[in-house]
Amino acid sequence: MNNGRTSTILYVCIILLTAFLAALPWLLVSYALVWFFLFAVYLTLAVSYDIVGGYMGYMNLGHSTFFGLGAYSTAILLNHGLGLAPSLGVAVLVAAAFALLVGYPLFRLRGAYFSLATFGLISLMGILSNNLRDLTGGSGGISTPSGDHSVAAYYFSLILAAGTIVLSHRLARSKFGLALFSIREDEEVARAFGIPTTLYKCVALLVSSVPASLIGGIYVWNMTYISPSSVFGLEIALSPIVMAMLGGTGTIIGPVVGVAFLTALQELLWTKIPYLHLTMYGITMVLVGLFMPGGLVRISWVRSLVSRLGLAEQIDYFKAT
Amino acid sequence: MSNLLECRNVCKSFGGLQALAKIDLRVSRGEILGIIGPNGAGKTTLFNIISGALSPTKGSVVFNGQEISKLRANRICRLGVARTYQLVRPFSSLSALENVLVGICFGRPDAPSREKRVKEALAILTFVGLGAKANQAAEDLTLVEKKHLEIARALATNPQLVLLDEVVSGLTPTETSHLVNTIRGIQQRGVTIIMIEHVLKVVMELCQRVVVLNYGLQIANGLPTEVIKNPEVIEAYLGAESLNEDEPSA
Repeated sequence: MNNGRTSTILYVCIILLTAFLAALPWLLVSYALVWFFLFAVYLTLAVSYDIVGGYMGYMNLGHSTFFGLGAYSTAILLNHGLGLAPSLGVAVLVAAAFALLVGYPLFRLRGAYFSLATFGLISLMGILSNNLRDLTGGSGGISTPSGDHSVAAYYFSLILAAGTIVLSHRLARSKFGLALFSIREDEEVARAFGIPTTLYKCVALLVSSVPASLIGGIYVWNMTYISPSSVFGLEIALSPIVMAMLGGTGTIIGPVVGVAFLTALQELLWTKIPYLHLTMYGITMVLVGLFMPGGLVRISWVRSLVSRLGLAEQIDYFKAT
Repeated sequence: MSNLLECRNVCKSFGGLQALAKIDLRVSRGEILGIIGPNGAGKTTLFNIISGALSPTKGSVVFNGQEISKLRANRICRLGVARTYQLVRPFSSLSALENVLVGICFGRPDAPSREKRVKEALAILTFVGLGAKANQAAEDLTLVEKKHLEIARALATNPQLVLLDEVVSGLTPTETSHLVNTIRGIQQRGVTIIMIEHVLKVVMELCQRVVVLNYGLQIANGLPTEVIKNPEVIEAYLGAESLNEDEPSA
């Protein structure tokens, strides 16, 4: 195998990409900054979703509630005059507490029942944010102190996306990751072999809530305005999941590929057919389910390429020499 | 007391169905105990109760002097009880090595360090004859390999007691004799074994003692050679008519 050369190529690509992304604010128009910012938002959400959805096999359709909670908490605290860092810190705590609160009861459900119940969380949060007017501004949304943070937010979001990928990578190679994989394969057997499944499922949900709530906070800090429909809507809820599924769940590279593919495609469709782009998600979901349930990265030729680059978690995890 | 495991008056009902009634079982250290009985006799239910997948309706299970019938399965595993499944249930998409690593990392009170884990997992796989297949996904293994993998995963937890649920069913004679040797090897490691088995030849070969269940009742308990001559056992297995036909000739 040509492992040495391909991984050198990979590293060179990563370094070039990093240099390009770092220099972008001086190179291009602000539209590209916003585009890459949203790309990083989706990437963070898709990769953090995959910890529970892909590694552990629990399809958490309500992952965006962490994003929305992070965004609202940050917005409210910024409006009370707190700095960005403490606001984000509290936002993470709020989302983590929410994860623990819903994790225990919801993880008694499995499969489609779990997905359906988590899907209900989105409308629960939507209703709450619409009706707690004093706190959230109701359906009119909430604005944060204005100011141009686009360059800083661009960097923060990219760093966070990269950090989430590293976190997911580390997790996949850890003991904890092995436990999540075995819960996905057969939960009863996992418990029979010493894994405290309830505890680990809650911890996994907690871990996946952290990047999602952070990116939510950065999102509102950059956009300076959110409404119930923008952070608790269906688009932000389903896009990252569809992206992860399209790319291939349970791998690190999968969500990255899926996000890159769909955000690029969305950009095309957005300009050509502005009202039908949501239909695309539905069609993608159906087509993925029908023709490639493993996602893009599990198509055989892509898979061999990916594993040559050393990016296929499932294949390479704890490999014996 | 040298009893490793004691089931005292264990009963289990599913709704109105009595799956197990007043089972009293003593297993001493180092022995191989066979459990036989017709389909639906409650053998696997008994395993599920010992390993903690189910809790008994009445009665208690004592392992190493400790009451375990109220503990969760993951705790019981760490105390030293490991099992295999009648219909094999390896973690399909994980490699053979990872399957064993789950046992090593989580099935013991204290997991060894990272490098030792992989080394030990490979040693266990080699013991059951799967050393060359360590990196293969469990779903790509053959049935006999999957059965060996399940045994390897159980051994990985450093158990004192292993519950083998029909490990040789569906295997060819050659595969069976290979597996019988593996089971002897496990006993030589000082591990106590309870095995559910339909293949009487294997039971006669391996077990020091046999318990017979029928409709949730324990109908016999003793040496394999004695138990299979017990009229009640023959009736349970072959029906009352065969008993009447056989008796004059025997």
